[in-house]
Amino acid sequence: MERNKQNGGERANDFLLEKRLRAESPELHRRVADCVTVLKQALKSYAARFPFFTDHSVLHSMDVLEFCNRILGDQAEKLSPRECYVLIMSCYLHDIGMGISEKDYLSFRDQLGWSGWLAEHPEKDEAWFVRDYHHELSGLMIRKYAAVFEIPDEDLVFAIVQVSRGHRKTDLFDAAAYPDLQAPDGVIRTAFLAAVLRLADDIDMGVERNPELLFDPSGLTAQRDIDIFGIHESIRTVEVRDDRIILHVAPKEPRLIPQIEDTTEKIRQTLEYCRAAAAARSDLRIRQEEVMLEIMNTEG
Amino acid sequence: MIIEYTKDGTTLTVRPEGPIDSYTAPELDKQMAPQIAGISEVIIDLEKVNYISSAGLRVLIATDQAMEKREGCMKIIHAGPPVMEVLEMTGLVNAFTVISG
Repeated sequence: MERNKQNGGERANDFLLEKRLRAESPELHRRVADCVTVLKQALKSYAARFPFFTDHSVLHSMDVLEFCNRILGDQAEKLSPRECYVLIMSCYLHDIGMGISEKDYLSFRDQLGWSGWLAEHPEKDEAWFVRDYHHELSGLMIRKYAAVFEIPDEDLVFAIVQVSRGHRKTDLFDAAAYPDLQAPDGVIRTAFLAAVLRLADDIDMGVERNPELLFDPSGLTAQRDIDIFGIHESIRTVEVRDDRIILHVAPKEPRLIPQIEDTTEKIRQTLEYCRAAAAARSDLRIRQEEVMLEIMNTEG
Repeated sequence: MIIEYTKDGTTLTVRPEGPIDSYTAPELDKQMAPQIAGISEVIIDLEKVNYISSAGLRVLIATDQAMEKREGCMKIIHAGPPVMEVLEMTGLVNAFTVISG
């Protein structure tokens, strides 16, 4: 990989959404900036329930936003300012449900079928429920705290809720759930934005997901958690090109290779789904066509 | 990447040089963890940094959060126009202690 060529290409896609929003709507950009300041603190709260879990702080939000920029490339210029705002805010808010307060959790869980879920999963606990339903909890929290997040109108609240929920499990082909919202100053293509976010979230699997500065793997005891950390450590870089996504891998241990391959296949399935949803539901496209796994040469 | 470290008691000053991007940020991240042991204040001097990408911002946030966990603090000084533009564009200018001048 030629660094200079790659670096030039990467820089061209740096902060595309943020630049566009600042240029086209300083007011919405200001609202994002104010929100980021708050969320840098607020998003740390996931660690209370999930102290050894993969990072879900503002660092992950920024990763997802960067991947959205790279997935979109020059298509970011085709998004309306309101779409840029929705996607940026959804990058920051999509996992806020992971750090839900006990008070909010107790008020929301019945809406999500807590007692039925517990009956089906007697061996699991509240933390598992939050993990399983965190996308829905995020949606509920965004709506409840829309004024705190300074989301200026109902269309934008709805769009951010749907796109944020849409980072997992929801049906992006459902036109009622994911409509195109028309407004005088531009359309919000919620299905396309959700598809981009879902893919960006899924590919945040690299080693930087758990920074050395913040994550001490010696505290991990559950084999599943140890393996997940090992997979992250093994994926040295996630490279998003115009036409493909490449996972550059240096396996930490040979026994992790099948799991890394499974992870790659899962990302392929997400890419396929998101490409199909984008094509079916909008005039914009996810242009990346394949996910490749490249084993890095670590010798010499 | 050239990174200069200066310790004065429990204050660590870090002076990276050049761009902090997806190529250089991992090295900065790797070096920071052992450097901040026993440190109560980290000063990031960005005078010689001509560009910072999202990867670079992540290292700053991770350092800031790591210092907060240690009940310490992090400050950014001498950020030039290219860096300040990125901090303002991403909304992070108010999320850090940035000392101008």
